[in-house]
Amino acid sequence: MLRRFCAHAERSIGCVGLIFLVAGGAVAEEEVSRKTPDVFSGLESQFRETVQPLLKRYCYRCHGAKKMKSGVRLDQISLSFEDSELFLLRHIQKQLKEQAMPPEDEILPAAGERELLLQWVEDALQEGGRKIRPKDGSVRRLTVTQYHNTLRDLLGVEDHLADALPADGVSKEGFKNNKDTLLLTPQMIETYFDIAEKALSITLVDEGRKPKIQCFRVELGEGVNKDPVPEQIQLNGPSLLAKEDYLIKEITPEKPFAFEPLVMRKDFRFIEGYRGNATVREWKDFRGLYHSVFASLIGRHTGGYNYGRSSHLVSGGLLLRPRSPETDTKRGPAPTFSMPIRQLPASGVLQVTVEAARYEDGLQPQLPAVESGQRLRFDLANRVVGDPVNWRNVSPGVYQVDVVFSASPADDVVVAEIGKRTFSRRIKAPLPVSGPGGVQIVPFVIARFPGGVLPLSISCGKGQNLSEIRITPVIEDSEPGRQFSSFEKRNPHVSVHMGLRTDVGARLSRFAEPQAIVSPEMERYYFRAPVSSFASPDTEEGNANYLAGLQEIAVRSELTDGRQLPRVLVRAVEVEGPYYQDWPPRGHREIFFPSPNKGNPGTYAREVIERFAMRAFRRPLRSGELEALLSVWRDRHGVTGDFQESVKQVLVVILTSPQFLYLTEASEGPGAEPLTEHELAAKLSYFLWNTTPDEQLFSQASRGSLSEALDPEISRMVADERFEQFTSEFVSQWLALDKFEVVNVNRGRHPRLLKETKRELRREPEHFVTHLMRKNLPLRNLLAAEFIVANDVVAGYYGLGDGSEHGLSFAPMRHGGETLGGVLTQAAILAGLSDGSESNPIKRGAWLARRIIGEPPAPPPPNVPELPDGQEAEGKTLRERLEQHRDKVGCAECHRKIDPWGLPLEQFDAGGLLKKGKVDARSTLPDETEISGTSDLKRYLVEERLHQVALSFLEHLCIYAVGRDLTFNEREYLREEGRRQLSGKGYRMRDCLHFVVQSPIFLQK
Amino acid sequence: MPNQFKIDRRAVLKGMAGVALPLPLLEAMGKEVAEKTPRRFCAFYVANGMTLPDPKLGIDDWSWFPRAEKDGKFVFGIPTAPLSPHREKLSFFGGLQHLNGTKNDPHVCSDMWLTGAPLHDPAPGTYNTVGLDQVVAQHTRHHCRRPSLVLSIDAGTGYTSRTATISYDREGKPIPAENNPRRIFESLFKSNRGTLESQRAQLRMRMKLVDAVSENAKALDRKLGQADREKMEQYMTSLNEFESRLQTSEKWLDIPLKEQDYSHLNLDANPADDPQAYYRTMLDLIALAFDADITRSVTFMMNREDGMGISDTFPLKLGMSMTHHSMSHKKDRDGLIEWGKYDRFLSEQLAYFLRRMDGYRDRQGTVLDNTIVLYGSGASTTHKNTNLPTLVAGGANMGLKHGQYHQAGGRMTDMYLSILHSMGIGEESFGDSRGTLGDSIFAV
Repeated sequence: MLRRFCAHAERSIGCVGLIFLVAGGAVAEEEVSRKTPDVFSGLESQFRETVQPLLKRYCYRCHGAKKMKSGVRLDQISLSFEDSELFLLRHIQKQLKEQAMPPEDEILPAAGERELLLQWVEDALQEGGRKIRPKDGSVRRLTVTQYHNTLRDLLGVEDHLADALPADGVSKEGFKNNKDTLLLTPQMIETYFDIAEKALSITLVDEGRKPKIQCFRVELGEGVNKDPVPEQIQLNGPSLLAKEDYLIKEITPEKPFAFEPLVMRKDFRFIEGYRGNATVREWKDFRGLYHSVFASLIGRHTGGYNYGRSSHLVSGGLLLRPRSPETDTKRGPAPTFSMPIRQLPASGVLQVTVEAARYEDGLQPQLPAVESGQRLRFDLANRVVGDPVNWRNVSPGVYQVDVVFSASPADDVVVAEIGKRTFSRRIKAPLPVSGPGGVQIVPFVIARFPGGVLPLSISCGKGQNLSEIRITPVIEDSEPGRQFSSFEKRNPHVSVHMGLRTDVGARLSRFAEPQAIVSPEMERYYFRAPVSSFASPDTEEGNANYLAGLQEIAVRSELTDGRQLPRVLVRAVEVEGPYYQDWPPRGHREIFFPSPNKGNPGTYAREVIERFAMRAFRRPLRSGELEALLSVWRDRHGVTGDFQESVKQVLVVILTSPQFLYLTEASEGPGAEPLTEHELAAKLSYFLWNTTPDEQLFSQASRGSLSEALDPEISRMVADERFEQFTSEFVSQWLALDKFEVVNVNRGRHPRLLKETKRELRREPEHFVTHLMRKNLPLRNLLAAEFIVANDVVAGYYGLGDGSEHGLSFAPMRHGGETLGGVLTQAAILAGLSDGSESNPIKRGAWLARRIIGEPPAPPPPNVPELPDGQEAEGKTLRERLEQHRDKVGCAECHRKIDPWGLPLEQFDAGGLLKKGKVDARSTLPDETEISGTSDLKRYLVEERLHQVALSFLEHLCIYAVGRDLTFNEREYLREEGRRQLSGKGYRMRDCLHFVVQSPIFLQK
Repeated sequence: MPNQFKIDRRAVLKGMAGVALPLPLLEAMGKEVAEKTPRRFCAFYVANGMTLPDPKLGIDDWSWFPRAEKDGKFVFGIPTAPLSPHREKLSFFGGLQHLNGTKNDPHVCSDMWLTGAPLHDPAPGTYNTVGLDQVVAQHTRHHCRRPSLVLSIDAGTGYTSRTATISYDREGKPIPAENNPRRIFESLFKSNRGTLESQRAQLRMRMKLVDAVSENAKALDRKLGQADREKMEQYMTSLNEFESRLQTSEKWLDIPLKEQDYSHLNLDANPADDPQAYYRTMLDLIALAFDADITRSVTFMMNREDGMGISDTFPLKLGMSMTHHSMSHKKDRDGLIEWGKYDRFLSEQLAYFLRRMDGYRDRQGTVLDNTIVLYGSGASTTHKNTNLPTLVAGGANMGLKHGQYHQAGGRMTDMYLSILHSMGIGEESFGDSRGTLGDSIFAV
């Protein structure tokens, strides 16, 4: 940009320095407070006499009342110096300087005329910038997310009650927290009342009552149930486990408080309807837990992929391989252990405990082991299939087992029991490796074996052609040895899913984040989530269908990047709900806190209400507020005499009051005033955590010491895990990641962009920006980093799987490539800006212009002609069709500023991966810089446009921080001060955050 | 056309009498329920325009608009053929437009479809203007349980030019739409469960709390800037509105909800899986709500402009090769036929709705005969804001004469005023209307 400005400066006026001088003057609000009368009248008369006629001559035809090209009108300039006018003047200045307007095919002003216009615009900008903008405080409704987080933190309610509210509107920068797009409707008021009542009913409990807790345990394993129920367990589909292989019992969990175990219902009377409601038979009685909880396996055998039995019941439990990458059947991805359940709590938190171990598994090798002197052979030719042989005098270590067939085997699964462990492998004839004499060798498993005597049995279908087992020690320092060693260290991840069981399959949603199963010993892994987040069966009472009203809890091992993972051995799954850590729950105790005045209702009510209102309003109460609330309590208490209920009604009032629902900065007058300490605490907290201030922030504010300790406080907040509630909102809105969520992926073209992979890729930009912020890295990394922040799924998607051993946790890793690194080449962004089939340089270009370099293109004008299609497009690439489109009159002007930014990213397909073969990704940027492709674009942006990228980032960050649009002067401030204070160290990311918070834009109201 | 101003004064006054006379509310409602047949309105919006092939292509039968008359009757095109059983209860309108539409970014056509507002030049501090459905709601609200029902394929409001709602309130602000069949069902029909008295007690408790909140809000410092005082006013207005809803609800407690058959409802219909099942459930809910006289004003945005939202992918789910927005950009034969097939699918849904509505009996005629159904798009084909595809059905008991293809064109807002007057709502004008639409299917 600078280079081009200077080039033009020779022909027009002054130089770059002047622009900044002018703008610098505009920022100094304190210095001059009003329009300078002389200067102003000079500007005015100059405008009427010379400027307006010029505009009329050269501009009105396109930018007048009739056409309003690009939405720009120049016939309305009134020297009001309203912000919209100043932004327009700034725009005109840019157009004049870059000689972009008037376009070349129009009548062009003489050089002197252009100079005159430019000089006047700059004078006007300077004068306009002096005008003080009134600062009148701010009132901003909590966003739905903020409201949810706040209720959770105030009341300890995990339920997603706020989902009942309509989604918040989106501002033109893409943010949902803009005070002007945050509307309120009567319907919402009603919903706020409903939510407040529901939330308080969950939080407030009867202290004198023991909670009822439901808890049951399902144990898994071959023959674990010695005394199975005699009758047939009915549930349609062949997926039920054999009755002998699971054991269900109600159990009493250990709790640090007294409770009453909920006895599950075991008597049912149904008219059976095994295949939907159609097959009605007769009334039948069903007794016992086995008609209340079921155990089944989705994809119980091969589950569609090649590693052998996807699940395997052994005596110690159920072995699960990772879910397969391809199968995503109606019943859900396989393999999955699933428990249809008839009875669960309606609200509160559910805890699912998975008792599991990382199986000491074997790796399936690609090739048979290399012949070595230490090889053992077991001849199977004349044995009964499956009869064990003994492998004696084993010295502990790693061995490869190969299975030899005398002739081509049938497609089947080879299953081996070696010692106490089970291995299996699916084979498909013909096998890749043949030996002498027509034998075929299945490279079966590499595993670590203990010493001593190991019984070894092997089977494969009916045993056709099984002839020999070969066991070969694996040398640690060989390729198979190294592969096994990293396999051995890899941890599987268990996830819990929940959903509604229906006749045509379950709709399972993730219950809680997956957990790594790290220990080879049986350990308990806990998963918790509010049960109300999942569809409830919603059956009528007395429902008569055996299959109706079943929910489903499912456990599976998550796939990462397709590399082999050790299996998980699941011994038991327990369900407990509602789950209480203690009793009464935290939310209740924080409201009805211990006080010596507990015996005196009037005094205690005052204490409880004041304390809660302060937390809810995020500040001490003002005069009148407490009295108003207390009078509600007195009224209600007078009628019912029920202390808790009457307090609850007051809390409903508090939670539906504007003091709670709105973030308020009360202003005394139009001048700028500092925020109060409590306003500051709230603003900071909703900015960096998206929730209410914690105790430390609140008490700092109460002591009046927060504004002095801002920097350490910001640092604490960034380090806190709640900071991720900021990045998840800010990054996804700034970078428009919602587009990725809704993109309809063409599975044929992008087979790897599966739902679960998308979920991980969607999180990449957030983790990336969080990392940049926490490590305070220079801003250039945002666009051009030598690392990516990835887990195994994300790394695997980019083809870097072998370099990542983080399971499902995100961690920085070097990518060692040309194009990766930085948000521009993250799949969530590139794929989100496509139609799911083809890459789209216009979408990408418009996104980059808008979000990254802050040069938002004008909205599309009326009557946009479509991209040439059909005959016109015959034999033309998308790129050429774009050129055709761009060349049309009326399109060229805008697209000149859009497409060039997207074309360098053409190296990437609609799935966000590098295209195969040679791709023309050359581009001529609006300033005529030639760019050869993606990495060149990144280099250019961080080397030549860093200030502009930084300004765009600061603007987005600041708009999000204050929840409103910025004024002209505020944008000027960011431009000037941002550069002055931050550019020296390359605009470090956390420094940017500190800078925004420490700016008057944030601190003043 | 001066004769456009010729309104049957008596009809208007008669209509107004039932609305504006300050009878005690309950009494008025009782009379209304007992003696008068409700007059209702609903609007269905289709985004992206409709199939209107270039005559040169020789596939005129794929036009959404009917072809010229044959034997004194218009001929349905393939995209609207599913509506042919209802010929006698519907009419097409050709050549209508919003005068403000052509001055705009074409994508705002859904924002302004029911309002006709000058979005290119809004009054200071406003965005849109009130929509037709909300004018109806304002005049019918005291005769039913809910002033209006605002539905859409995507919940919420969306945003300017990519709106997710077609309803705008009296301040011109978007009204968030609802899209979840189960939640809609529960809010509309489940209120008749539980005993009346406990409901009444709950309502009264609520009203007291609203009072208290209102008091408490007043205690909030008034030291707010102008813009922010507006926010507080928005809050207070919403609160008051909610309070008046509570009062109306309490009155309604004495009138039991009509007994209806809900067994056909598929409340778990998921648009991601089965567009038709979803549409039908939503349409079933609207028909039921009308039949029970829960509301007299409904909007349903069936899809959103410019490829927003889940409905854009419906054609793919129905086995077509393009998304709704992509097909709407087609100008070639095959693309247009594909588009026409999707329009036909939408027509099937409308036909389903008309059939249902015609199956419910009112005191006089069917529910359809007492409901004006507006169905159409804010653009004719992509980004063209003239010749808006428009269909009006029902309302025979309000004087509508159907089976016509009205090709004379005119202002949408004139047509809207005709709808209002047909319903007995005596507004003098609507938006930029100059009068009612003369010589058309409307009696007024």
